[in-house]
Amino acid sequence: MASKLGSKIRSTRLQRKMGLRQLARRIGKSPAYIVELERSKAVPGVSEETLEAIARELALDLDVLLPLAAKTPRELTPKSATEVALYRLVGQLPQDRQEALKAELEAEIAKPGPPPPKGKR
Amino acid sequence: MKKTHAHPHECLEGLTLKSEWTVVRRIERPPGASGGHFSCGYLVENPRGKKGYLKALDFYSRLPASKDPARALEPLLKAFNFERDLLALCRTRRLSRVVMALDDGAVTVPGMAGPATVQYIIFELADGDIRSQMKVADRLDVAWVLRSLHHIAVGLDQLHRIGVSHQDLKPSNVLLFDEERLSKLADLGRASHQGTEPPHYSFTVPGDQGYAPPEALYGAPLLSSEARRRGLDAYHLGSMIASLFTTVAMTPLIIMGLETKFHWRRWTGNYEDALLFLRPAFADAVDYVLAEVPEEYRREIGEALRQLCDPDPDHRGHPRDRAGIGSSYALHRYVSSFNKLARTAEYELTRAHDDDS
Repeated sequence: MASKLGSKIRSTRLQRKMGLRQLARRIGKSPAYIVELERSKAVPGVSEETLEAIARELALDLDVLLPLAAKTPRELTPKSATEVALYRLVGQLPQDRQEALKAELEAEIAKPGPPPPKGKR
Repeated sequence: MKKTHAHPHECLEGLTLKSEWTVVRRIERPPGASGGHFSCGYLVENPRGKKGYLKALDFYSRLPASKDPARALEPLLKAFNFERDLLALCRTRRLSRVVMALDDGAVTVPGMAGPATVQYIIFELADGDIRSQMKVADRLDVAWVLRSLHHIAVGLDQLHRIGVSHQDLKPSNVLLFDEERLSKLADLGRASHQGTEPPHYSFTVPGDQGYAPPEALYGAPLLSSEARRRGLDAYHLGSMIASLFTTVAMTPLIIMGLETKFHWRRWTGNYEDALLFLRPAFADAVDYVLAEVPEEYRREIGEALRQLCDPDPDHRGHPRDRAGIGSSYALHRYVSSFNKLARTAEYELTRAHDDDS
């Protein structure tokens, strides 16, 4: 059994009827690299740039691929202890509560108002 | 100045050899090619304009540094003479899908300090090896892949018919000729000949370990030598299917799908137990390859792949041949099958081309 990341990439690639070589050429990698990515049981080392390119070529959501590759998007690297604590707390909530909180936060952020002061996100 | 620092086999440019071959220039070895320490290659040409590839071997220049030159020389000469005799046999029997040796001999390089005699073999000049085509194609050229498989199977079958097993079939040992439309097997350096003991007789894996069948890596009890050699060629032929369609050989495709504890480097159990996890990993690897094969060829390619690369050497080969009294690893059925598939693909290609124009 391949890793979840590999299975996701492969199933999407096959759905889109894209050959190994075609995907490899489009993302600037060798076909053997794609084979390893798709076949390896362990999640292989893969950069965010490569995942971005794969997501673009296969019309996949990068936010779906990144956790499968056990990666955090660069812009989400915590910038304060509060952000780390929030991440931990949210992680402890069940999925449905996380969804509800996400909706609440999105509504909060969508509200018109003055932008938050610099450095205090 | 160059000659005082270089080994004699690196200094053949400009020399005229027997049979009037002239050494034109050195040809860089493609990345991944084997035999680099003692050999290098040159483009040669004869007065009739025929070109060839000269493989120059350096046996003698390092001897003064050896404590026991006679012992040091023995395996090198044995291997060289063994390969040279096999090549002569292939030439006599006119094997059309094995790279032919046009000439061989020895030349003494002038102006060298110390032993300066270089042995060489001149081969027909190839356009390159099959890896160049495998990698450049953006989309798989199915007709070319199937025709290559057919040529490779013919080459192995021709060798088997004269009692020779190649034992080191891999993409870098398949050379392309005739504007890359004709594939031939090269490098008999690890081959064996029925009735003679090859220099590498005792090796569990005579060729490249990256292409070895799982039973060799997991230390399975070996079948009789002759059966083992034919079984190895059969496995390698199946592995070429995987390589041509995915650019990755069958063994790494199987191993990639295993948990680390089942990797052959860690496995301490017997092969029978290893088959319990190798079989599903193999089935998965076959599915992986077949997903890259166009649907109209999938059934027959799948059958060939499953039969040729079965992790259990007792179950390897065509079922009809396994049941018969001849060789379990006979390849003639695969020759026919690949030829038929290649013809179909070539016909489809021509038809598509005609429709376009």
